[in-house]
Amino acid sequence: MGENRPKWMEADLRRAKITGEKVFASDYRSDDLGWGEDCAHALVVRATCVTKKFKRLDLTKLSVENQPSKVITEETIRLANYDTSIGVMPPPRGATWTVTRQICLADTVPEFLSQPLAILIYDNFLTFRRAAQEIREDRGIVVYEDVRPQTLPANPTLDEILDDWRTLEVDTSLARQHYLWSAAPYPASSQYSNGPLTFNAGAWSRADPTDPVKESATATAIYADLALLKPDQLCVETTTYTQQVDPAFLEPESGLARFKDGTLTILAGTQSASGERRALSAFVKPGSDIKKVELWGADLGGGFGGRDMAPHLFQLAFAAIFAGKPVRLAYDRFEQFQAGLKRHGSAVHSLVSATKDGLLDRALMHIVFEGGAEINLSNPVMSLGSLHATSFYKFRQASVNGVVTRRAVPVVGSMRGFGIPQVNFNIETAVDKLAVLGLKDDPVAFRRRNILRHDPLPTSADNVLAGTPLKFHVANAEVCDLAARHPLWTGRDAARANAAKGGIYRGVGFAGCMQAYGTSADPQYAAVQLEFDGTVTVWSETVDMGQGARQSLAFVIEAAFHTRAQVQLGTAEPFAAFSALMLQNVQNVQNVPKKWGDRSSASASKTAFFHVHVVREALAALLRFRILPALRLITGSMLDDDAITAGWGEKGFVVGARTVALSEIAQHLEASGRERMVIAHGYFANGWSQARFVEGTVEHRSFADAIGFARDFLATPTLVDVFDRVFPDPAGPGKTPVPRSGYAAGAHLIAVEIDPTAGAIRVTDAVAFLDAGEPIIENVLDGQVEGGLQMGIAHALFEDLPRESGQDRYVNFDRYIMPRASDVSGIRLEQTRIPLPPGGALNANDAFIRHKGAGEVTMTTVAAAISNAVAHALGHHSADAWPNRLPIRYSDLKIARAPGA
Amino acid sequence: MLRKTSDISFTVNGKSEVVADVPEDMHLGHYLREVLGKTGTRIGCSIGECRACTVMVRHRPGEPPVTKQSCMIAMRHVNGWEVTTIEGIAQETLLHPVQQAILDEDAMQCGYCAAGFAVAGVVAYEQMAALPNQDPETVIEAVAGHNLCRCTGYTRYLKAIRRAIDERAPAPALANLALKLTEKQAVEQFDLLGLLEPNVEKGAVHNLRADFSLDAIETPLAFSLAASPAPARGYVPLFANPLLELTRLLRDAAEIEHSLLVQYLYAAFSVKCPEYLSLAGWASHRYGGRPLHVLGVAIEEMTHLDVVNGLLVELGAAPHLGRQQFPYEQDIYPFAFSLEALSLETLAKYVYVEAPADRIAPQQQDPADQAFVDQLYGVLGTARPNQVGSLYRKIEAVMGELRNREPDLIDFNLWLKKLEEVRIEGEAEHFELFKSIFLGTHSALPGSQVWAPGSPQYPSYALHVETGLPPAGEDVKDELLPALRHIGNLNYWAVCMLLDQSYRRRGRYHNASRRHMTGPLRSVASALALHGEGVPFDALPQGYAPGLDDRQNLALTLTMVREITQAEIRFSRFLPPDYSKRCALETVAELLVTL
Repeated sequence: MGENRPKWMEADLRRAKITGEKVFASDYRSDDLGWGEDCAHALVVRATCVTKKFKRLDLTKLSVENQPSKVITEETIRLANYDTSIGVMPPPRGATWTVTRQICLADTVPEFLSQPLAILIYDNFLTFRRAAQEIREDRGIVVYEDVRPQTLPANPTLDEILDDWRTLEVDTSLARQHYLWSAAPYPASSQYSNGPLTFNAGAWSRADPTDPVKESATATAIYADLALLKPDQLCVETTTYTQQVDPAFLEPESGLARFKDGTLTILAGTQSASGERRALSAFVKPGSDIKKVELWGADLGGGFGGRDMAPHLFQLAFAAIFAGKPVRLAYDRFEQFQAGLKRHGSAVHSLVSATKDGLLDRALMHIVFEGGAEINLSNPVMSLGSLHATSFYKFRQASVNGVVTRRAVPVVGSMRGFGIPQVNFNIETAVDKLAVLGLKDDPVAFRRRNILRHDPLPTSADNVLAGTPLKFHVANAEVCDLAARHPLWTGRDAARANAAKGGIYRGVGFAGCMQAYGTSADPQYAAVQLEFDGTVTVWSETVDMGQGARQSLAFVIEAAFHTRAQVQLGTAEPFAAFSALMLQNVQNVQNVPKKWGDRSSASASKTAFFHVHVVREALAALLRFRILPALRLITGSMLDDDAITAGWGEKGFVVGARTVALSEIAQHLEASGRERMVIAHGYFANGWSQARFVEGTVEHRSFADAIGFARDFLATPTLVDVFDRVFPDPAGPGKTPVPRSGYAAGAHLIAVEIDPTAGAIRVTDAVAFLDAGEPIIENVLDGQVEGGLQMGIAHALFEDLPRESGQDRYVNFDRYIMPRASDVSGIRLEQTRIPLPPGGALNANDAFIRHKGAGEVTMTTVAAAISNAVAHALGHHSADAWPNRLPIRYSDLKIARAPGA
Repeated sequence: MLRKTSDISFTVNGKSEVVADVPEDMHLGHYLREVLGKTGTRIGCSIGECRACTVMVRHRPGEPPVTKQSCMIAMRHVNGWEVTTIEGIAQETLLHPVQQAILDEDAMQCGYCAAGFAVAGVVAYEQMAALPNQDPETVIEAVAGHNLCRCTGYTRYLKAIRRAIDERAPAPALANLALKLTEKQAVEQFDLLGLLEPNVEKGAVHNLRADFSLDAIETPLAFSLAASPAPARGYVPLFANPLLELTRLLRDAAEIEHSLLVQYLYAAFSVKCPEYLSLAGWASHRYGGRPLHVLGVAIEEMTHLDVVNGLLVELGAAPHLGRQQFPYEQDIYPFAFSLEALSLETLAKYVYVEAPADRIAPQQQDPADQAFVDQLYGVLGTARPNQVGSLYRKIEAVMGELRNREPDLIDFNLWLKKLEEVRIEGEAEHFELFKSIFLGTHSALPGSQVWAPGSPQYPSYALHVETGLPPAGEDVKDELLPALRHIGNLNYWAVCMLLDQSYRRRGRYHNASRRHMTGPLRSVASALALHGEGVPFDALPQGYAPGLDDRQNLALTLTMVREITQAEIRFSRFLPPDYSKRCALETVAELLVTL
């Protein structure tokens, strides 16, 4: 690394970003890292055809001036004994297929559009850019060969797949997810109580992971019963379609890498540095030239899930191994559209019924997510989407069946919302229709009557679709109550009539949800160090892609320790040695939960609830084991913790007549040979882990399960002795870990105006209801709500990718339309936060946490709320009044009546 | 292959950059980032759409600045500009009020777009300072309204810019913060760089120094040409005076380049997409190099039009944005103007007119070449259009003679080099491309059989053209196709008027005209093609510089752009989803600054 301290290690980069300093991975050049000025540029040649065999490159067709200095193909990599499948995710449970390599094997049909065929290395920038243009414009350098059409995989339409899936017929190599919930009249049946559900060879089976699969007569009977649902007055049938979209983060993926003296070093903007480090570590094996892999994560120019195990990083790694010098791989926007991760498109069919008393009764749903060629996070996205398909409603019976397809298009992965916006668009428009057309009811009141209720006592709580009791707080009821009382809702008919006088269709729609935050099991690390100047440095595996992780962590430290903080994100150190030690210490310990001690930099909706919690636990440990003992030695005070910290302020601890600054304590620790850095690990799965730690005479209880101290971030840490380590039971009677337990409610009330003269649909008002708990930094949370609304509107009204992206090399922001300022800044946006109960987001015997994850829920309900608003504007004339396809275009609206009618 | 370079003088953040042999095709954004190391100018799309790359440009010292999209501006256009990047906005540690407001409002999230917003905000701030009677909301929308942000709801950015404008101290010094130079220093700086308009007599005025006595007979151009070592065979000049003759030929060349540009554009939009996207191409900034698609040729014709009009202006003549007139000069014009879909017949014409004479001589040595010319003449029938290259040879010959007589009139070496490049690009690159399409060997085509009538693989739609001008006495119909034709025409006319004004002002509106072409005009052309129509490209009978003088013409150009905004409101419901209504508003703001 160069002599200058890189920006990505600083605490607050906002000023740097506004003055043009180097911040993002795309800003850095080889020389900035001390690697010298001589840097190559890598250019990926991609498949634009999956119906022919890729034979070879014919570089004679490329201009003489634009010839590369090196060409890396699958063969180059293979012959050098490197694994071309590195970074490719293995097939998930229930699926048997995956892409086999990052780069296409010659003489085979490319596995997907935009799959790399070769990486060309250029020695100067201009030649690289000119060659990139030639290749984009298609010089014909890729030689293909025809294959017999019958050897190609079938390419059914989305509707064909959905039709088949409604009879549960599907290619068995695809990943599927079935949730079946029933409270009556059959014996209770759910994943929580009875184990996961599968459907094979025409039979339903329930099994917990330790038992052999056995046919479930109950599940078979319930599904057969649900399959008899037919649309009628009390049962609505809804088919919705959402489009594949691009995350469209503003910074195209970019990175620098060098392979030198056995070390492969990569600087990139990535959301998943930990996962990528894990994948890249496969390079380091006996006999390999690569002895060490370093991955430095710079702040991202946006991410939204699109930089999670994205192929870019692995292409960069291959380029670096063979370039012979530092190399830069920087996509331009055309390439980003062609090859970057996408959000799944979807087709969802539902039959949702209610009793005539206005209670939701049964739901049968079939969901098809349009995957790409590579797995990436398709299965978790489909799975989580399926879990949320019945939104925050209580049904007597529900069957949700999800499948994610395989298509030879660019990698489709996670994106903000993680599959939930797609299903929410269906269920929230379906419920709206059922209320308005079937029951002639107020749609919000109808929802309020049917929401799931939480209760700390699992037996008293309602159960989510998987059967998991909602034992933690979720403000479903409050969201509906607030919406019902809001003037935008209560005054909607008057406003509609008023707008009609000017020839405008105006409507207000509501949509709600509860959305899980975190994953099924979340191990988290944090490290903090008291610096000699009295400031604190924090290390975290999270990254900042605009969600304010950097600011939030700094704020938490400043609030807790009354001092300035430095924040280092996306780092591997100091956690690598610590986690190794942790895992080594539990080798013979029973019941260590799945993923415990894993490294994860997942950052979406995780800052406030997860990362902040572990940082706070680390700070508490530092205070208890180091700072307070040192303070007592310095001052001779015998006061207890509460008393001695009562006088803690910006200048330090006031103890009697003395004020002891943190800097003095740091010096004292150093002089006495005590570490100033603490590392903590916590684990959340159905609750936080907890333990008792003892060092000498000091005992400390924590909602962390491993604590250690280190001399510095590269040193081997020492673990503090741990006792009474407790992990909440992650599973119910069905012995399957609960898929999710922490939820945040969210909703939007949205008003739209449809101007038939201008042919425009415009959002005019929005009220965002958010169950996020207390904001760490108010502006940051508000910003998430504003950005979530914009992204939701983009999804609902704007974004539309050409059908087979990857083939079209000219997609850019001129055709891929997203809202600009004038499209959204005029919206009257009101934010309503629902306060947490005094006990916080969790229960009395759990950690006291006053925040929830909220980055994703802010966009989930926008599209459905807009569709519902459109239906209101159009007079709810029939089921066709609800748009069912995104993006909603004026030309697709079914206008049957005059405004106001 | 041609690799064009230019000697370029401009300033970046107050520092002069006088550099020789800059690659003309490198775009400013890449020059800033890769050559100067100023990576604060971020690149998000490379086509001027996201505006992360926004830089501030003053065309003259003290003049209010405008925004430019550095990712879509080739270096050949930046001569004489004063560029301020995000690195040059703050004064040492003192942030510009717009930067400070963006921080105070917590406007950014990921921050990749923040530099673009800050620079655009400073431009709005400075424009408001210079023209305080404007509506700040409109100025902010025009200047920063197209900047893309994926993370936020934009409100805080707009609020920050507005706040900075509202809180602006009345001291005039603030308005020139970014210039960092006093007016006097700036003028001296520009003068030093030779960037001020030369105050010398040029063109025909230069001729006034000649002896006009009756016995002072000027040697007729025809005599000189006949005596020159490399006479242009078969060419008989109309005028005795080479400047007059050159002006005539250059105006012909301008008409031809313009006509070809329009016809190629029309043909490109007839291509079936996405099947033959590589054949149609995409209208965005190109690095140089042989164009590999039809739009690439059209874009290159645009640069040829630039060269010809640039030379006209250099010679003291008006730029010419007209198309071929009737009756046209039979020995110069390639073929009668006709908007036609891409077909074997149209390709034969394009191949012929772009070809060097020897490549289409009826007798060829190589059997493959012979087969090609036989096929070409088979399709052409008896028609024999003129070749464009021959006109440029005439121009070069007259230039040579003019140099003999007026050696200090212009930089002849520079302009002869540019003209030669134009000719080579046509004869080598356009010819080769059209030939490959004609023969079916282009990489996008599976073979020559695609051109067989009725082939299911036929590469183009048979677009037809309807005039966008309503019948006399009628208004444009309130229907989809008439509306699209009209808006297509308006944008085309605005482009021509902008270009006319731009040629007279060192290319300052090229960026704006390119925005209209790659934005609204492309959008309308794509939408019309879906309905089996092409953009009518109706010629504007009044011409593109109907005003009495430059100021009047600029004002008329502004008025034409306002026509677009009016039509956009009227026909809003017919506009395609990818039609940008901010384009015209932005151009209005840019023109107002000059006026």
